[in-house]
Amino acid sequence: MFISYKEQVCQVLQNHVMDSFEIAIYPFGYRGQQVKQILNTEFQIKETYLVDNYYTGEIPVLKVKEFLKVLSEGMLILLCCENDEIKKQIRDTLSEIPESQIIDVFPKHNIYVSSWKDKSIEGSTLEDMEKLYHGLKKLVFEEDVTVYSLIKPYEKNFLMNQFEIYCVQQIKNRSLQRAYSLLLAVLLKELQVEDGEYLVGKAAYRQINNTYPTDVYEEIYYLEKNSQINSKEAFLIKEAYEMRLFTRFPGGHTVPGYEMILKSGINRKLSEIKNKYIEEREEKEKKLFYESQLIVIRALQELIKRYADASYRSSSANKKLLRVARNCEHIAYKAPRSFEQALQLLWLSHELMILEGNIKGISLGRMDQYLYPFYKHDFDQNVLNKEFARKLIYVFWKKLSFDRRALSFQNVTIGGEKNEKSKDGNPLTILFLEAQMETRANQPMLSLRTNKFTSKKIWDKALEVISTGMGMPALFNDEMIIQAKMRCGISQEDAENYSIVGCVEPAIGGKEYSHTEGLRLNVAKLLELMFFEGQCPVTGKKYALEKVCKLKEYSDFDSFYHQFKRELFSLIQKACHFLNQADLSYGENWPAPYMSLFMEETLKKGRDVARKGTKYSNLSINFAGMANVVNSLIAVKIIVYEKKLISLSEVPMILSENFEGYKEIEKEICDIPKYGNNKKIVDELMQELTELIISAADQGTINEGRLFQTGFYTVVLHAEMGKYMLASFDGRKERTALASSLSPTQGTDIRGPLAVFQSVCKTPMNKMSNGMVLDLRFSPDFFTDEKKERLKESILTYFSMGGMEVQLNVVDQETLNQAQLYPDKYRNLLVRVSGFSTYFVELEKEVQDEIILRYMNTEL
Amino acid sequence: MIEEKRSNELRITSIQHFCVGDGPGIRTTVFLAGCNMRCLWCHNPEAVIEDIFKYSVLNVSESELFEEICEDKMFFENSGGGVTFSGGEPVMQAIQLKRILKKCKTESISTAIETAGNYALKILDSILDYIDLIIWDCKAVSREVHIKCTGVSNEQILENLKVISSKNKTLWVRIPVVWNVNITEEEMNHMGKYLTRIMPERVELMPYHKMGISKYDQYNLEYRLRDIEPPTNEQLKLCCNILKQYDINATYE
Repeated sequence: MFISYKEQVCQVLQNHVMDSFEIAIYPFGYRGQQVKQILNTEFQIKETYLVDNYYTGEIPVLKVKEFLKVLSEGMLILLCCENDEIKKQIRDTLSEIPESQIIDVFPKHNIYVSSWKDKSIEGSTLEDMEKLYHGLKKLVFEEDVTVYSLIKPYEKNFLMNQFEIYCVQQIKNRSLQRAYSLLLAVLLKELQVEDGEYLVGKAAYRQINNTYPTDVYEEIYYLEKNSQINSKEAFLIKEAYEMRLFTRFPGGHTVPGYEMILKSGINRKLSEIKNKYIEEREEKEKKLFYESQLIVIRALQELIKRYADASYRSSSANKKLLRVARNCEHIAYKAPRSFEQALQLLWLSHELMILEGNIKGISLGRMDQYLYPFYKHDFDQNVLNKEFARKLIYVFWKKLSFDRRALSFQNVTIGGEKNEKSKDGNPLTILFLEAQMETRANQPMLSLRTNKFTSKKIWDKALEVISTGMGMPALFNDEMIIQAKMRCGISQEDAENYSIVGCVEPAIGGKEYSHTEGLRLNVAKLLELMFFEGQCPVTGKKYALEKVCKLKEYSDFDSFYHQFKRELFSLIQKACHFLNQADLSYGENWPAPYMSLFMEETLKKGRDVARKGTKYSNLSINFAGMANVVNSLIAVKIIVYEKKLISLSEVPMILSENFEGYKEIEKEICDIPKYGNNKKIVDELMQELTELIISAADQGTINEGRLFQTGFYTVVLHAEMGKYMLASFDGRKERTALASSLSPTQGTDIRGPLAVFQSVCKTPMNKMSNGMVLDLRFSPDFFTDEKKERLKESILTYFSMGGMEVQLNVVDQETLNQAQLYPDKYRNLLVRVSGFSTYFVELEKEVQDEIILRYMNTEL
Repeated sequence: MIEEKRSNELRITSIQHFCVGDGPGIRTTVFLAGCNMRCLWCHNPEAVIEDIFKYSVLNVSESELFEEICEDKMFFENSGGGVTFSGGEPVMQAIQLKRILKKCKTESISTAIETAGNYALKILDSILDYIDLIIWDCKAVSREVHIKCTGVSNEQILENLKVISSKNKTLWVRIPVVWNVNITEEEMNHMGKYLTRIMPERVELMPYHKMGISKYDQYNLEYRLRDIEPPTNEQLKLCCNILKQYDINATYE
């Protein structure tokens, strides 16, 4: 349960591949691709053959028949799949090969089973681990630090691995397992105290092993193991995933209530937990939870104390570190007294959050709001000036962007004040905007909440930052988001305090844990499946449609459209069911004790965040391919049923041929009105489908009255999902990206941004509780003073018409073309892709192409 | 010369939404076809040269056009914008234009026309009540320069301007700057002197650019200014400074 897939695969490979000179990977599905990558990168070995009868990608792959001809003695065949049926088939095919030559890389029953044998393993014994465990316990309950002497003799990674194995075997409770792992990780963490910095700390990518599943397959494995789904369901879910009918990235994606610890300080929190621990000691489940809380808060305290020590030790060489050391010493126990100390505690709390494995989308909430009291205090006391504040913020910003593997989708929310504090608003809002402009890093993601009190100064500064082309800050409309949040059971007061998680998902900091990346359905894929009677034409996988119907039986558009809506509704119901089951599995297998420390009510309820310990714990479901589906349906309506140019049963053929040989049809499709041009016929369909989706998700309501929040943003998944699709009937070519988020299909919004705004505003954004994205692109000349004002007015109008979010990319086409040709010269070119800013040159070519295609909104 | 066709259709070359230069606020600009001048530097030949209208001109009904203008009403209201009729010479289709302008006014949409002013006073009079802003393209003030550059004299134009300035209408002036073609230091001085009399709210210098040439190539038309370069920054500054001597603040991009 503690070894990640990668390590598992590495272990298996280690034992075999080194001595073989011919290696075949068979089959070459998702697992095969994983193994190939590990083999190529970790072992620097190139496989000799890839074998698969059904592979449709670009790499040369042998069919089984051909492979049997080249089989040779001594060749190693890596069996890369999990399904026992398939394994059996393959073994039958290879029946003439000696068993020893076939290596099962994913032996079901051995995965996650410990390698702990005979109570001792390479230099450590069970007794050693027991001693260590008791040492840690003593640290937690008695502040006894003798545990440090116990860990000294060991190599760090080795000890960590051994202890985690011990935890899994000896400590039955998952929260405690993870909490103790985290504590040991803190003690073992390599600290770097940098010269000349005002804040210490650095996030490390290496997390505790006991972390979240690495992919959907691993999750399904657990769901099946825990009997939350049966093997048939598991199979169907895998099939659906393999054709990318859905994707998911659970875990993380939360705004922890860091604010709480800044206010109370560690000691006070610690004593609150202790009291609870004593009060509730009769209730076993709760007691164990409180114990996990004690362990993780000690872990945080120990981390800070270690940084204090390390800074003291280095302070003779660097006087600045003395100041850092004193700050750390203070915040290890008490609430921060200054802006500097607050930032320090905030960072170290965040650093440990990442160590727990919550790597994706851990966002910092309304930083300008909760740090303001510290800033103001220091300012009033004359111990802080703007310049120093600026320096500190830059240092903090750099920490957030230090390691791109560990730190991603960390959103910082600014603005959104409820009244006019002063003419210029909160000075930190401006300072954060400036930090963003100065560092030009892709982290954090900056989100600006706007409402009628947003000052001109903030608007101007925000547009200035946007005009430098980094796609940040994204602009949010408070009114719509607050309405959307209140609709899923969140009180007005809490809703007004929303901040942004990950890309664009509104959440209540410290109170809401809602798996915002829980699931994303590809609506365009569903339409494709209807054209192909449930069989994915790209992967050959099957999806069980509600009603498999010959296309010629749809006598009119309404009957086809009606069936599509039924399929959509049923797909959403299935997805909600799966999400619910997966969520139960998370509660069981992956509690997050450290994250729970920062969420209100977990302490009161005595429950982990993953077990609905937070005040709000809805689930989330997102949708991709919206514009493609709407445009395709309209095309079917007009071309098949109105103009009768072809019959519906010819559509699959045209799509399979990628429009080759059907130029006239392609031209006809091109001329049909598209979503995003303020055309009633298309926009009304979009409105109907978004309403349908939201109400279907509403009806997926699950146990304890938790609601599904719907989101219409796609990150980069619209490109990934598009790769698994043929051409679509809206004119999109095979394997190219789908439309991004709720934006129009790339290059089809030919009537400019105002028409886009009006089209989008037909959809019920005030019900999209998990957020939406509208991307627009402008050339830099749009940001001269006068035009900038117009841009702002157009955005304000969009918001007044019911718009929720918009993000603006500012680049010219030429720059992008150049960047694609000469990536080395454009490493710092930031662009905004559906919800997040990233470096253009790091994107896949498909996504780059899509950005270039997106219509340029520039005056002619 | 002015078309008196009693039709409900307008001839246009394009409609552009979200224009931010042709008047205050966010605007929709409608480019009407037809012109009674032939400026050497014209960069909208598709709206001027009748031979190519069959490729470039769309006929739209008044109601269709009006509907499209209304689309962005919310944006007009929030930004103080509206609709601008440009061209070509929009007043060439005065009858239809008047009806559209009137409708706009009843819907409280702010209106502007960009015009060179070369038509009879009574035509101008018939539409002036429905126009909030007049953007006058001033090609030259001296008669000879005007004739040389546009093919027509400017007596009528200057006459019309006098009327406009007496009627308390908001007036902006745009001056195309094609150095040594319509603009010299001397001509700039003439303009300054003239403009002090009509006191426009705003004066914009529009530096000549070569982006129109490709259109001439596309339609196989002769382009007479191939050797002329866009004005330098110094030349533009000089123009501004000359106008400043007459207490006129001019801007350019």
